[in-house]
Amino acid sequence: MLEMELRRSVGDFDLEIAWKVPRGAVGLFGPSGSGKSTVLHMLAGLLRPDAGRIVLDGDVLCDTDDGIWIPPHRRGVGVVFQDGRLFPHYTVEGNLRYGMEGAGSGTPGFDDVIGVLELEPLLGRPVGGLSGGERQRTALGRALLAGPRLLLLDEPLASLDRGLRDQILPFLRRVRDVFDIPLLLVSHDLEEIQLLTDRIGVIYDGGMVASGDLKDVVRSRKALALMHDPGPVNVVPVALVGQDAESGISELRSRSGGFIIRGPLLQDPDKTERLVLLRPADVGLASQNIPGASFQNQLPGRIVDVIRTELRSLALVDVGVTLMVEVTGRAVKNMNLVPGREVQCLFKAHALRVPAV
Amino acid sequence: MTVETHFGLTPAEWEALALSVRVAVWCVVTVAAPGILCGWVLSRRDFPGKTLLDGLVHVPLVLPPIVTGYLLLLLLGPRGPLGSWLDSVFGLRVAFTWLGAVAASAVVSFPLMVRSVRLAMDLVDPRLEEASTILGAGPWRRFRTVTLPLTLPGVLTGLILTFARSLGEFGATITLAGNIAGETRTMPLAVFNLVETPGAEGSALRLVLISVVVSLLSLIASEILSRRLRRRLGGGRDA
Repeated sequence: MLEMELRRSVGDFDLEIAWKVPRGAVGLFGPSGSGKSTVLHMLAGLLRPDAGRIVLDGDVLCDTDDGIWIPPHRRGVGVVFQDGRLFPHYTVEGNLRYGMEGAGSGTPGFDDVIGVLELEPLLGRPVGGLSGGERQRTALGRALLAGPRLLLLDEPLASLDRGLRDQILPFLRRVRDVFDIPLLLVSHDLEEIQLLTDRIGVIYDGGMVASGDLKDVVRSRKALALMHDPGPVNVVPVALVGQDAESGISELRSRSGGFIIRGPLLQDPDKTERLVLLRPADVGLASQNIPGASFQNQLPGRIVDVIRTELRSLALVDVGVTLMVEVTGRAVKNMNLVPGREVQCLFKAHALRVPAV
Repeated sequence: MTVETHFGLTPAEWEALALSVRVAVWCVVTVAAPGILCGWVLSRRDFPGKTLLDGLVHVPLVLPPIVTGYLLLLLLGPRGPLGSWLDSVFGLRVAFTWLGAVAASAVVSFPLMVRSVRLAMDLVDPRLEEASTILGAGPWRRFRTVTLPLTLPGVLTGLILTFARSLGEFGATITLAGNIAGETRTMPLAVFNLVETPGAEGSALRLVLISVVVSLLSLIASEILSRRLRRRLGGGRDA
């Protein structure tokens, strides 16, 4: 459990936040200039708050009232920087081992980290020749091997294109699942956060707007208004049941909801663990099942809530999991979309992006 | 006139060459650590009086060497404050000894060393130092494992410049250390002597040639070293 109360003013920008972060993987989302990077630097000890407290698992890392300030190299707070920041004069192995010197007893073993991140073939390589994905994996491994009690991820995927992102994603999720280290992913890219966790805090203009499960956070109109370009996306963990080249369709079963989603043909059918990514704008609603339509997916569900911001409306539909569906004000009115109303969620197989995890 | 020679050099020429190299080596040894420290302070620290320190370090670069030598003589001479203290406490005499030649070279080449280190250190990404801190490295380990290794090409350049500047030092040396054969008469001073001596043009020319050869050799050596270093820095190594 991480608790923070932080205040800091620079020029006419005032940051003042209080946030209790549960253990596990949590995202901090905010547009650029919202103060999220300042928060990350204060947690890491690279920046001092004007006033405030940081408590990690009962240990006080910073308390301006009591004059407590643990310097960054004694904090045990790791950071994976966006640009990796590998040491150019060390090999991959030299980088990986750099932080092991002062690492505590609970630190993941060298071989475990190498195994999980598949770094073995890179060990002897100079870092100059690494690809973007290899650099991030090395940076992640280096941070883990320093034995952090909290690992901060500073937009670790933001500098990567979508293909690379899908390659790194499984590693990040594996780290989340294998090692018992709290992760805080800080990003202006909501999708990046969502690929790792659905628990988020939203920061804007130096203050916390909302925090909790994404499906609850989007019910805050202020938070939802901040999520655009791209907005939130539906992320559904699924298992690939099978696919049929003839019909061009894959069958994916929701791991928590049990329902079946029909997706496009997928590469690497051996990888059964998948995420379905579906943009709310790609889902249509109908009041009943439509026979003879080309939509491969018609999921029955019930409206949980409709959140209207100045520019758009988002319907939350319970189809076994909560699905976000972008609707117009007109549709809300004409279809009488109110909580409790039963609807069909329509979307095409090809509206899905299905990276392996 | 027949004179005993070693490798074609007269004893006097040998003496001047050996003394020059000895003074230059000691000058490099003396300047290395303070130069790195001062470069680091100027590159990485902010404090009141930084501009003053920066100016002070660079003064010998713009003063005529003879003036620098004279100021050093006032300071380090037998009746100078530092000179008399060194003499009474350590029994060290600097003025008009080979130590004076080292001191003169060191002061004159110090700004070259500091500049090289500082420029190289300015280019070291402070975010790498931040990464080192985050990984648990204290200030000393951070300096030793990240800042210094990445500054090494600049340090090396500075040391070569120091060595070369020392080999060529004349004005400050002759003022502080005098021109004593076998004690403070380095190559430039020996050349000066021979040029002033009627009929010694041939000897002067030989010393000039030796000077050129030694300087070229040290430049070539530095080029080879710095290439290796760059390859290693770019090529990575184990921790």
